[in-house]
Amino acid sequence: MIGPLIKGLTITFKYIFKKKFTVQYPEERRELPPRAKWLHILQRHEDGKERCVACMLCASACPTEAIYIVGEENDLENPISHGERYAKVWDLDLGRCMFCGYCVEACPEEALAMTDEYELAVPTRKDLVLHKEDLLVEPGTPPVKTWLGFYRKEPIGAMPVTRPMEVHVEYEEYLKRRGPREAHE
Amino acid sequence: MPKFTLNGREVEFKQGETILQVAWREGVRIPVFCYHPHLPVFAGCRMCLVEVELRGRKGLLPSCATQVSEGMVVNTETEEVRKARRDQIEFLLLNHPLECPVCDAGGECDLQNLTFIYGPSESRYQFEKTEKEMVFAHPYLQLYPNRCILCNRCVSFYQEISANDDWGLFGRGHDMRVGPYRDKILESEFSGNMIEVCPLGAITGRDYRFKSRPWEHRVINSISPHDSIGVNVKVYARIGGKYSRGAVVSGGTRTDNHEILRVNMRPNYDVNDPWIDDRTRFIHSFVNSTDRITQPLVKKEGEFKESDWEEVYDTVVDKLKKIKDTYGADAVAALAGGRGSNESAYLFSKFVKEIVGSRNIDIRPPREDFTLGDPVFDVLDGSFSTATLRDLADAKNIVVFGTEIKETHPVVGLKLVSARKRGARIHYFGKWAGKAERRWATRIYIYNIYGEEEAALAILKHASETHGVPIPGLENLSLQDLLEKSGLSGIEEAISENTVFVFDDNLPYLVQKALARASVILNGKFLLLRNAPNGQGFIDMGVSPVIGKGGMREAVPGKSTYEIFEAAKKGEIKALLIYNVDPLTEFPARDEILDGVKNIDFIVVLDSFWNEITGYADVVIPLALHYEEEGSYTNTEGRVQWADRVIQPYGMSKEAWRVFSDLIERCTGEKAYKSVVEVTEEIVKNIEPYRGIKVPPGESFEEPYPDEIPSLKNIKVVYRYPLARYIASPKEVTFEYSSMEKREGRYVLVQSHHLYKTVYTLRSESAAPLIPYRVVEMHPDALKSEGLKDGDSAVLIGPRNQEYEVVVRSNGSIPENVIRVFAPYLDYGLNSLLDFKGFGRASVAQTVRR
Repeated sequence: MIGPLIKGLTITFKYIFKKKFTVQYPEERRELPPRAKWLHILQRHEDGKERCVACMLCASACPTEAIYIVGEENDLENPISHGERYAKVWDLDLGRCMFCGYCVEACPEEALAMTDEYELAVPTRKDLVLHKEDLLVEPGTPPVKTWLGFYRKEPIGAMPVTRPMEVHVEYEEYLKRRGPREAHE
Repeated sequence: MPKFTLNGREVEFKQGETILQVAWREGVRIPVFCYHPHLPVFAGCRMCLVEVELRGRKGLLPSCATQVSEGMVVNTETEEVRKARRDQIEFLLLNHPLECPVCDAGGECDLQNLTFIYGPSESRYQFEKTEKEMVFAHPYLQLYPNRCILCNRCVSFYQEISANDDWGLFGRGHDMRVGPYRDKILESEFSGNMIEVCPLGAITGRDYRFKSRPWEHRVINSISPHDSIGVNVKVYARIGGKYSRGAVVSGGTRTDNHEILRVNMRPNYDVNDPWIDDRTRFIHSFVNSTDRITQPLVKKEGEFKESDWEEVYDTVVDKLKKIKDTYGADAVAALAGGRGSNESAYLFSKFVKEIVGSRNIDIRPPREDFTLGDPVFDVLDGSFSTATLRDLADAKNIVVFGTEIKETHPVVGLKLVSARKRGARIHYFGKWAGKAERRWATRIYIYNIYGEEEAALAILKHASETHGVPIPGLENLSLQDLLEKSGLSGIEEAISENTVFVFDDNLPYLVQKALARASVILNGKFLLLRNAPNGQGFIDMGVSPVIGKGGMREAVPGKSTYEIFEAAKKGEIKALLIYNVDPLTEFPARDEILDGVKNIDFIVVLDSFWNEITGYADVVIPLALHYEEEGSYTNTEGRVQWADRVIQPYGMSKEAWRVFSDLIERCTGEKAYKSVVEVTEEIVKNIEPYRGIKVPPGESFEEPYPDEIPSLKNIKVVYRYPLARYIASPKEVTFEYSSMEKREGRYVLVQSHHLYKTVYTLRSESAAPLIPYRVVEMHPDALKSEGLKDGDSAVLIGPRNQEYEVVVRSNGSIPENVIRVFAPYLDYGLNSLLDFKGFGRASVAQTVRR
């Protein structure tokens, strides 16, 4: 009878002088692991343009059909993203999302990333639907490495993403550099 | 049967078949880019290379262009073939930009799929890719020369099938590109087919641009609502709620639910093999037009009040009953536009003819001579075409009379092009002829503006003289006289045994009757092109004053459209039902019609759009549009086709058959029809030519195209629909001829048609750049003499000094004293100047330049 009691209390006394596990949330917060997959963000290029080109691969990769996108043609004078198209609507229903991260894996433009923002409770179901304005980062925000790219050596932006439309100007410069014979053609 | 060895297997083949055709049929997959089963072989992409061994020699040959011969040994999966394919794809990808996320073809791209299967994983090319300038060719087409792999498919479609020449392949080496030859909008009315023929995203459609991805939408089989050919289409739609597939966001608002994204071709070798016209492909946004009527309305004290279905039905039934009791059933009349399913037409005719008891019902325009009867019905004892569209492609001698095929029935033009390629002689008779007619016509005959009837009678007279068949009523006329009056010569060449005639049902009574009779005398056939999209179906269901259900002659003929308005002027018509037609903007002689309309006590308008006649209505009933209802549609040759519902009806609108079924229920106490199929079953039971026809959903079979090539997978399933069985019993008919009086005036206005000016296009925002809005056409010399230039605005002055502001365009093919005006007249009230035959007179004045 006394033996098990001592055995149990030994563990109690062993931990009584150690550092406490309990975190006083919300005053205190624990740092999440680097691959935490919580709230999505839509990233921007360094020039402030949106990375998302509404290719809809995230929507089709999504197992819960939580993403809804409508693409639209960019105004050539004042483009919103690189390339010709941008997402007019980019809705995410957190009520459906199961944070599997397939959307981030599918994104060819590295536009979509998941952050450690996990305080997602809202009063109504309707508020669970987040729109593009809610998810888009401020211009100038440093790029977040997607959890998929955690093991990758290349920096963000090294993948072949859609180039800005000014690229044909570069091509003209390239033509000049090519020398007289080619320029004659 | 001869045999050859395919991948170690003995395979039978027919003489003249290519390796590719046999291999696909046997289930052997060979990738292709430039080969298209409906286009001439180009053999330029080198993707279909296979190893061929014959008489000791061995090598790689393009299988799409190599015919199989006895004893050949073909291998499609050797290491050498695989390497050739891999290297070929690497070459194709040299200059192909990797912008799949932005490209509209992503997900249905041949290059994407075949690169995944056969291609290398990495490119060894380390230089800049070539950049080519984008070209504006058509408001609905977007050409990306950068993405093009020069497979020549679009060029062979454009030049061989559509027979136009302003699109081609030019340049050399890295600078080679496809594109338009000129800085103008493409001439062809089939240019949209290049989008689907293109194996990748080099040509994409602007209506579908960036809206969606191919795996996201629902694909529904439908029929084109635009013309009576009934082109088979697949409609891609985004549909919200429980009908949706793909991403749905719960709780979020969705304004773009129920949207038609694009319309693609659906092969049906009897009707369209598989090409569809641009009007069908690009004009679909009318379903979400702001002009739609959303609610039933009842006019009270001169103002429309929003109402519900109960009140509307009660009002209509009570009023009609009252009018019928006081004035008799003959005081009720009904007009239809021929836009609607057979089921709607059947119940419409049942409601008017059987329940109300009136025979004053018509779908034809108000022509004075249509009061004589139905011309084809008078000759054959049945109103239908004796020829099918297939007959057109096989015929040796074709006479096209008075119909602007390009503007009204574009797909018939493709059949004529292929007939000409096969060596047929095609004679075009018309008031004028443009470049569109010259694409297929071997000889063109231009008759006088007022000589249309004489020209048709001359054909009949010549046929009767050569075949020794007397025509009662024409004995006193000499052929020479008729030719002189019509201004024709040399028509002997056009008329021979087994001639196929093509004409439309808006031509004068005498013309239709003469041509139908001539085709009987010549043992030929004729294709009667209905101007209403489901004109044939409406006639078969008995929506005609002279023809009853199933083609029986009515014992007491009712009033035709012209007579209805004449009687209304006298106050004899008390109630008018108008179903999907606007007499004030679609027909000529607006003032006469308006006089009649104002005299009618009770007007019920059943329509989908607000138009001019709705203003005079007492009850307005909102109807679902073509893409919003399911039903069968009979095309002009009598093929009974089925269209499924694509999207839900707009607002409170209902399908027409449901409205008529509810009205019948209220009048008789019979139970209303539960579904459209019940009505179809009744049609198949009651209408003689349709007896025993199996309508929904039609038959289909599969062509052996590989699934991994999206541009071919989309046309893999081929549909077939049955023909209605009409029985012709031709008889001798008399002709009464009196020459038409000519009109005085500087210019003659002539009613004409334009491909992009219809009830539907005028309601589609996307069609705006192509609609000839407020446009009239004049000869360049006439423009010069008036001091006007192409594109100037001018004022058209009618005989009673009415003024209409118009834009004048120059058209070299019309006569100098003619002003060509386009129906319907929603944008300009020019139909006030026209008489019931579609002619008018006017003079032109320059506007004051601001």
